[in-house]
Amino acid sequence: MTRRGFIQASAAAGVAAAVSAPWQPSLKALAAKGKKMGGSKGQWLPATCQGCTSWCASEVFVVNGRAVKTRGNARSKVNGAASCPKVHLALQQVYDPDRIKVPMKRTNPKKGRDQDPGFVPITWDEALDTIADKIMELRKNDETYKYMLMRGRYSYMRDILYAKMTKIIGSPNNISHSAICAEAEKFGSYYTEGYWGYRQYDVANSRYIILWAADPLSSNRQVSYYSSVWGDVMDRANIAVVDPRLSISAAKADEWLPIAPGQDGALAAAIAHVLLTQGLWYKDFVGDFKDGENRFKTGQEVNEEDFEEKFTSGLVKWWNLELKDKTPQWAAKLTGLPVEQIKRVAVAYGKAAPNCMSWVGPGNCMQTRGAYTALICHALNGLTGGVDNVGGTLVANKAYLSKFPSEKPFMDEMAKRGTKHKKIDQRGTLEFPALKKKPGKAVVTNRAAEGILEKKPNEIKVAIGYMNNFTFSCQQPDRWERALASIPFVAHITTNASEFSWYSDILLPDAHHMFEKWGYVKSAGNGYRQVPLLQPVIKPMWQSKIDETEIPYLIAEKLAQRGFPNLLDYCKTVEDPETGKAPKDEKEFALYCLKYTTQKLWDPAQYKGGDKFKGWEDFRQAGVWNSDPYPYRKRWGHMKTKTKMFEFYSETLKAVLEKHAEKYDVSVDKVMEVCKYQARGEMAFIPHYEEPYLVGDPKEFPFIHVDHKSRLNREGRSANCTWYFDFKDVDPGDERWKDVAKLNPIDAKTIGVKDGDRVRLVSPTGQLECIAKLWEGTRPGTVVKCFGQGHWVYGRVASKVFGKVPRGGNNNDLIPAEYDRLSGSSARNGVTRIRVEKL
Amino acid sequence: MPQTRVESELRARAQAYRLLADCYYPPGNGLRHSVAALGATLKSLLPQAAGPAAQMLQSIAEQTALENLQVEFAKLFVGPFHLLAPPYGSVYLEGENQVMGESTAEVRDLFQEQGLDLEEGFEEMPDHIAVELEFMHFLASKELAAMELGDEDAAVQYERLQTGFLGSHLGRWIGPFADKILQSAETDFYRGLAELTRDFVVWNDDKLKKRLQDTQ
Repeated sequence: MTRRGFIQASAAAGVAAAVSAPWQPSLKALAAKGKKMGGSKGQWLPATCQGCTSWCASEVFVVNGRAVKTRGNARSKVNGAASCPKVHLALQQVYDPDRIKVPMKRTNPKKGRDQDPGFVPITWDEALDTIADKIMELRKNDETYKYMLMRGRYSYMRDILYAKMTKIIGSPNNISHSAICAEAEKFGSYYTEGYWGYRQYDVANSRYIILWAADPLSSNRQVSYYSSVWGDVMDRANIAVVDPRLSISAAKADEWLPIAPGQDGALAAAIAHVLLTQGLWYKDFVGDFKDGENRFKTGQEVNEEDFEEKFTSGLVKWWNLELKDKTPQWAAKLTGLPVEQIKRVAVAYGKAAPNCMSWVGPGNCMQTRGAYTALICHALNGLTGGVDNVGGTLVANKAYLSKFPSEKPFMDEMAKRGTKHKKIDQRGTLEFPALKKKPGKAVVTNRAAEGILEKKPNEIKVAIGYMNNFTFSCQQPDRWERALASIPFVAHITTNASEFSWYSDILLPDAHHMFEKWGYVKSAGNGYRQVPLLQPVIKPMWQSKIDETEIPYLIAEKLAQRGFPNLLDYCKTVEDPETGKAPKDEKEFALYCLKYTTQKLWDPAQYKGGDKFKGWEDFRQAGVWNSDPYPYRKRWGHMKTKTKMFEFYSETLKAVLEKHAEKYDVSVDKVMEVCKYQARGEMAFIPHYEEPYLVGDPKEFPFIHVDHKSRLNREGRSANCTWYFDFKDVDPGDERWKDVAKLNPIDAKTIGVKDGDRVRLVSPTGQLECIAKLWEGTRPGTVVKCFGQGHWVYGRVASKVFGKVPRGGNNNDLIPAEYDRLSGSSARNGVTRIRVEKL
Repeated sequence: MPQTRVESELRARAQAYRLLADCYYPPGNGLRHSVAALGATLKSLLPQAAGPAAQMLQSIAEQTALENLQVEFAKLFVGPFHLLAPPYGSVYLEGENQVMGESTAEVRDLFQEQGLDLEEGFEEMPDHIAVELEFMHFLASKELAAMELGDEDAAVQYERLQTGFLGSHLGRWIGPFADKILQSAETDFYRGLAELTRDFVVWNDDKLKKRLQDTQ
């Protein structure tokens, strides 16, 4: 009997059978299968954890089809057998009784926070028919660009649902979540060394590590690997943590620099000043004065001709424009740090060159002027020669993956017209340069809410979101509630219904990435790149299907039935590399997509490097491919910048900024002004300090809000797991089953708040309620609160009174929708002032 | 062969488990007939069931649309969001708000010992309320069949299995499960169903225990 049968079964049928012959049991759910005594002892099966973007190669212990525990995959050269605390929560996610189990449709047409959607189960057929009809309506009216796809957590199977399907339908509006994650970080490395991506950190060989609001023992990236080696790392390296709160990494560090929020650029400038004035820059990478005499003297300009650079570009310009006056004394006033500490850290860091690193975490650059903070902090890796070097910051090793077939032959005239429209997130407008390699190429996720509400550049009529929850994870999420309510048709593909689902018309049950899905991801660490496989290690729970492959294939079939076969025709081009056969159903398609894109990793005939396998089955059983070891210093002099060098004066940034300004016939200064940056003239092209941009009058809002992530946050999806709350005190200062705002006891005394008091945090744009915690790990003048709680729907654990009272508070309710407009990133750290009201 | 009183009671019991299980499927057009049959079946066994059964029929009649019951069914037993009355044994027996726990595995083992397993394509958990009620229906039916064949030993064996299953699984969570429905359900239909299921299972549990004691 099919599940559809379960849904549709008429109870009367059961009665008839039961009444006529009760001694013959009438079975519906059960069936005679022959006696079986005792199950198997279980086995470890390879999987991948996507609880954060470490993307560790994992293993799941499966007994009789039931996942019971997890560990790291020892074959991985990145994380090995190590795993972090958060991976275990995946078990509570996959077996959460609140998961979406079957496709559902909304029965209440009204949308609002006070409108119960009234979801009822429907068949997959009905759900897919509805979605296909909505898409066909757009095609009938030649308004395919009014279709939108919103992406949250993804694997590299994403291309099908996210890119190919959207383009073949004919829309430009595939909007990823990346800009609410950590894109500003990538801005720093791109406009210095031409690398748009997360770096890997060669901690095993490092002698000095500066962590800028990065907390590698808690979150992002390679948490498992770093957690397993950190003790050894501490034996070899000094570690300095720059963070207004005592993070778990800070608690174990040699130096904690509890900096005033948003002042990291000042500290970085002062460190650079010390490195140069004391002659501690790494000469084999940066070069030297022609006569060997150090002319970097405080307050004095240097003649460019006197210095000969090796693998860098623009050092003297940088000194003259930015660094010459940026003394530790100057920085101490802004940062609130002692002059001696700044000097001590700078000198020790410089003496460790080149085996040292400046590790830029999202916390110090996901800020309104964060692009320049990312630049100046990352630029230190250039000065010390730690970039691409032993013990420094590395890029990802090469992985040999194949692209999916091109969608172009399957795009008809309407699709070609449709995709030429502007994107709904307003990227590339004067106010949102979003410079990813070119102007307007980076996503501005949170801005899409305005795009939808203002119908600018156009209206959105049909939207699909997957594994995203912008109504919770974006700043000022109430804007997203209004935006979603304004879209006539929204479908949500996800494991747990969330605040986004509340505003949806159709819900589709998604496969859990760690246990139920085919796919691959890529991650780097420990000097290696790995490609771990996502595999269904258990039978998918209930009726869940795979978001990125199975579901678009099923939609493609429905579109073909309606006279639009292009997407299905496209899907059929993804053939099984072993047999050459085209997929005949969604399950085959999901598998072939994975085999197709990873063929060079497992097919001996196409071997390019790294681990070698006998074939697909061999690779599948191993569950992970590892690259060759890291080729240190290979990029020196060959970086993907304008000059090929590490740029202290970014010709690369200058070119794109000027291009963007030209497009709107304005000056770069004007771009800086409308985008809220302070830089004018040449300053726009160099790493430099900018004053933090904080929302709120200090008199009315005396504290600065500091957001951080939990060691247990599986992105925003841990809040329905009891273990999250049972073990919440693994986050320094936090408490079990509570959501606390951590105040320094000095501040708390001033405002008359005691430990355990209920408080309301209020910002200029919103408020939340939580519990006050008096904690010395908070820098005075700030209020530290972890992100992750505050769901008003989601599940039985996540909210206190379902639909009404959240458990804890959502930090995003406090944070104004501000942006680091050069990278397109959402500003979420050091954005707003708040006040604390005792309840 | 004329039926004994015991056999006719057993037959009613087996029927009742089948019909109760059917009521935990999404409400469809046959629901009214099932409830009517359930009321009639329980009349002789459990006089106090008449009230809730009538209440359930009345509630079906009062619904302007089947959709109301479908929405309620979803909120109680399917979701999404906060599942109001999780229909899974493990949620109550293991206290971790989880499906597919150790107790779920035990239930499946019990099925397999009887040569049963979940039907291919059946996408619910082994300890779903409808499945556990069906398993009781199966065991009661087997007991009846054994009796009719005059195989007393086998009949006692099946009776023991029923007592065992109620004692270690269904009987242990039916109370808190029914409470959750009673706390949250807005329709008399599901309130009636909760009472009926709980009262019947508890009555049957007592009855079986007593019978086994007498046998011993």
